[in-house]
Amino acid sequence: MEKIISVKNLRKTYKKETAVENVCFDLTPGSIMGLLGTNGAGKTTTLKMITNLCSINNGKIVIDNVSLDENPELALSKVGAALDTPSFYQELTARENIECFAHLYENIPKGQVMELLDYVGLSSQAEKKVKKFSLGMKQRLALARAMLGQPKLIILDEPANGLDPQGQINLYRLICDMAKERNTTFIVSSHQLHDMEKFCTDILILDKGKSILQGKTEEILSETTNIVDCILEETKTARSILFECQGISLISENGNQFTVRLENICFDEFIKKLVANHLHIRYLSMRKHSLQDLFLKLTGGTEPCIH
Amino acid sequence: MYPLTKLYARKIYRQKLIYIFFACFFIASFFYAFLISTPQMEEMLNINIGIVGRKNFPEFMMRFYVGTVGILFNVFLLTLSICEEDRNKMLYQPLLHGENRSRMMRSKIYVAVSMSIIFVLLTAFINYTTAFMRWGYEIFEQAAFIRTVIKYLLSGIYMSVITLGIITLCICTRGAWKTILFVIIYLLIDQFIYSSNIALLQKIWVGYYLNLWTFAYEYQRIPFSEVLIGISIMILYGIIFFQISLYRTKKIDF
Repeated sequence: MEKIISVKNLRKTYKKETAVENVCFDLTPGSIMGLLGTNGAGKTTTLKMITNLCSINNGKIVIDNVSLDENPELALSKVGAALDTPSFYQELTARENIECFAHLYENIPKGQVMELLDYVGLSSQAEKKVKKFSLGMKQRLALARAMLGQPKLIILDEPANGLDPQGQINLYRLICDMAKERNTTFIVSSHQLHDMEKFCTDILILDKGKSILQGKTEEILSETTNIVDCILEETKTARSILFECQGISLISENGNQFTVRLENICFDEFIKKLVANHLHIRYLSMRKHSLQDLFLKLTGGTEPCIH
Repeated sequence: MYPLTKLYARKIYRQKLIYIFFACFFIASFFYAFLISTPQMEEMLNINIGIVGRKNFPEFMMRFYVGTVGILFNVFLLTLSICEEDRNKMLYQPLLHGENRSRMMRSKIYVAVSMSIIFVLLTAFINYTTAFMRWGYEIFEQAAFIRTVIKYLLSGIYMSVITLGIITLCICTRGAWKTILFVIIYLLIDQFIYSSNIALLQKIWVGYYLNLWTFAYEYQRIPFSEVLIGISIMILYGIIFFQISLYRTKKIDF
């Protein structure tokens, strides 16, 4: 199957500290990969290595059958990227900013700049100086800039930062449309796990620079592990029982509300155990695990307690 | 012209600082040309208008730009153009649009070096304009005019080498304040070396020749041999700075 990007054994160290180690993945055209991880997990470093902004200590990156190491210019001509917080020439307008970079490409049609601004919903703001833009508008402008030259692969580093909920939905819809209509491949790093679960076709989770989970989103989420949300009386007793029971791991608790993961135990057996321990069940609900559950499980995190 | 060079040139000439600075320089040069001819000012400044005025006025005013003021002005512009762009994540943007590091840095260098030469020539133009307004055609005495124009051109070469040095500092330190600090240290060392008697150090010090041309040969013709040695040393420094800048740019982890 055709691969738009192939990353093998990527490694990056800063002095004695390893930022990224043995990261591997392949992506086919039209796929959207969510790059997840806690702060400092190595997401941005990985993206910067792919875009050649950061040197690689070990590993190989091939973009559309061109090795980044051997021919970086040709390889990167197929890539568009918006990394870090979106930055522009503040004194220039949105149109001028995009035009500045459009001049670096050969054969960019005259109207394409306005077309791109229209595509990201900024055509009415084209003549406004960027210094007057909100962060959300800058994010969209960064996406327009990344789309210059119609790249086959677009890399976005936390593109939803600073966007309101509607803005986030619009952005993700835009990404999905581009992936479908233009067969563009996306690598998107984000902390918005709920949204990533919905629109990413592939997931890669990094923790302390290492890849701890990767694969197709559907496959990852179809694993058999179940999550149970329950409200139990006798909080102290309930907590100690849930801690001690084999095959159950307590994910989070908020007063008498508990969320547990059933690992080697079925739902019926779980209920029997609660009853056998004379716990009063006020509420019980089972669901498939979400990307967030999985992420917290793998990175050793816990859900926040809201009192 | 290469598109990226055009982009950087457009960007740098949009800096309001440049226009404010040269407007101030024009005003200063204008008032100086008119005020130094008054007996009160002549006495107060302890200058001889017969020497520093008329045909010698453009050379007299040259030292107000070339050297400390010009170097500090350049360092502010270059830190805005390189260090601040680096901090704002704008320096690497062309690399995400098909440019390579070497071309990016060469474009920066070409714009900065040509800018530094243009600024010296602009200073010459301002000084000749104000001198003409004050003394008329008297200032175009052939020998003095040729000598002064040569001195401005030599100063342009010096300023372009210093500009390359500042770019190297910007790339190596990647910090505006560190760069400014190092430039101030350079200026102090420069004065120390010129006023010292360490002949060997003077011979290999890039700033020594400018001081020699502007102070030791003030209102005089510079011997060709001195020009040749000075230019050779400056070119050598220029090549070293250029190569270091390109090498460091290739190694940066943005």
